[in-house]
Amino acid sequence: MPVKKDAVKKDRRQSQIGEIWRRLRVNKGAVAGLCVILLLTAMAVFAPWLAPYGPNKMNAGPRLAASSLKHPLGTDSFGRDQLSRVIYGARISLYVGFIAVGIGAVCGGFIGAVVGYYGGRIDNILMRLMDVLLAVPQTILAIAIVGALGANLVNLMIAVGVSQIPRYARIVRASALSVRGQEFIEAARAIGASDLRIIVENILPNCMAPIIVQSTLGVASAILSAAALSFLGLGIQPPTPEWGSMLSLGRQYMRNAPHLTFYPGLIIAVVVLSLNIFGDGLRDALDPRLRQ
Amino acid sequence: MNQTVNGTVNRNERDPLLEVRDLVRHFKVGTGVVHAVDGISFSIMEGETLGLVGESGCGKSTTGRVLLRLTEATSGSVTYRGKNVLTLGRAEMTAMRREMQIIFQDPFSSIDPRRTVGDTIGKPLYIHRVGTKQEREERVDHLMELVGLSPRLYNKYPHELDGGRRQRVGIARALALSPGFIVCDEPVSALDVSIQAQILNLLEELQQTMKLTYLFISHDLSVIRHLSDRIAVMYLGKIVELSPTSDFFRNTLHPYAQALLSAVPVAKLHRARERIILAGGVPSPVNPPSGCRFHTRCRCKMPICPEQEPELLDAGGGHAVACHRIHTLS
Repeated sequence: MPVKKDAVKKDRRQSQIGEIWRRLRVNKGAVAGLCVILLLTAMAVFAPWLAPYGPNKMNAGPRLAASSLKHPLGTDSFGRDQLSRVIYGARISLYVGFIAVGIGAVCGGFIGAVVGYYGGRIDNILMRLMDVLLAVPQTILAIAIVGALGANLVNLMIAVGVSQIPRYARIVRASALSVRGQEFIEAARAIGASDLRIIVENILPNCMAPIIVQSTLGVASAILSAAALSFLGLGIQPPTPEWGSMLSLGRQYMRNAPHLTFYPGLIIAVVVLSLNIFGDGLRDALDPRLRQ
Repeated sequence: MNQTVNGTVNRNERDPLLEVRDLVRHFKVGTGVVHAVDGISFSIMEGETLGLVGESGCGKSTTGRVLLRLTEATSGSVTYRGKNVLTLGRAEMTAMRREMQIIFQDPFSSIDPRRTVGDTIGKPLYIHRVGTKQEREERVDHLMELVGLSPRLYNKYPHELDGGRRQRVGIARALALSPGFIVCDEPVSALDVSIQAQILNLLEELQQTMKLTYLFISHDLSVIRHLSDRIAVMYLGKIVELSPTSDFFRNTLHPYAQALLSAVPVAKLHRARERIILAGGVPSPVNPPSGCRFHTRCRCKMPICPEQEPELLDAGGGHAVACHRIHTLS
């Protein structure tokens, strides 16, 4: 990789993001994963132009029909076009997946870094609180939150996000504990960095690897949790297309019309897979030690 | 309690830059209290290098950290240019950090592996909002030149550098805010011998050009001898001998210091030296021995030693020693 070497040797200041992008670009899998995610996002944004039918238009074709030229992914039990619903479903599913993981990772990561850095009483109090959250099954916890706040999209994301906080807090705390003991944390204090600055600029960047891995896996479970809540009537209300609820609807017709579960399941798998590959690449790109 | 010791090698007769009084740092552990630093006093004149030697676990590194409040003192005072550092508020302490800096022992763990060299050196300037972005970058370039780092290393990460260069990064970071006082906490003990010399010469050079005052912590007497104007020997949290360097090597007084010195392999000696081998290990700092802490291993032990703790007193010419045999030692 002679090009990269030259770029580093240049005396010009390089921005951190540019540097990370340079390292990420080399990893073909990560770039492919990123492309798929961007494509799916574009699909969500341009859904009205891409979808052949309205997502909620009933009797657009025969019920439970298999793939055909008119309905490439077939139709569901209400005769709605499956392709249009998958395309529109990306809007809600991706949104819920990313925002919920964002809430979980940001809050959990910060809590983990804070308790790992300070230790002592704060550590005890917050981690016992996390244990309480972990002890309650995630779905039940989310149900309780949605039940308390009211059923709508925003509360759904908050519920799923909050129920994910403990796992991030745990793994980040573990890394923060090992980072805290390093001399460069003391060095940061010696040059006058505040605790907040040390947590944000020294502890968290050195705890990035587990956060990224957990987040990429978390998107799928967030989409499915949201689906479970929607299924219980606590999230997105029925006609609205959403991958998770499409899956649970199709379950009843699995024998006669497997395409109803197959396509939404496939697209969730594609999202998770590309996020995972991208996440792996990002984790490596963020770690300067892994650069060759 | 102790007399201020002003050695003849002091370069000036001004007030001390840094004055430490009865500094104590105890750590609570499961089995009791570790007496890491147990009431030490010394002062450092402007432009001077005070060498602090002792074996592992004697409290020398803790002393350095307490001075900079990287760990809080249990009691005592540290006065820097008339201000008690230990009682400063948060904002005042942050301002004080521009004056007092530290160079760490291990250049492999004292630099954040995720930050570039330029970023690490510029960080203190950024935190203290020194100048504009461009001025800070120029300052970093200047600092890198000062410590002998090639400008092309600006965007390198620590893992791409060898130990000597990493330590230069650590030195540049400590110098960034133009401090007056630097604690050098075993800055060369993690380095190869050939690189040690380079770093020591660099530190000496910087001291002259930037008028720095050092507290130089080391377990290596030959390194200390090379750099220090005065030497303080620590044993189990106490200073047992404090003396001008030349006097210390000519006329070592404390039995522990003598044993320490006899362990240094030196080719040329002024007089034939016997090798003093101390019996037993260092007593636990959780339960330090009564009276003189060295009495359990001392070959000159007297009945008074376990009873009463000797004070650090001047034995003449600014050469202080904490031993009951003070008058018969030399």
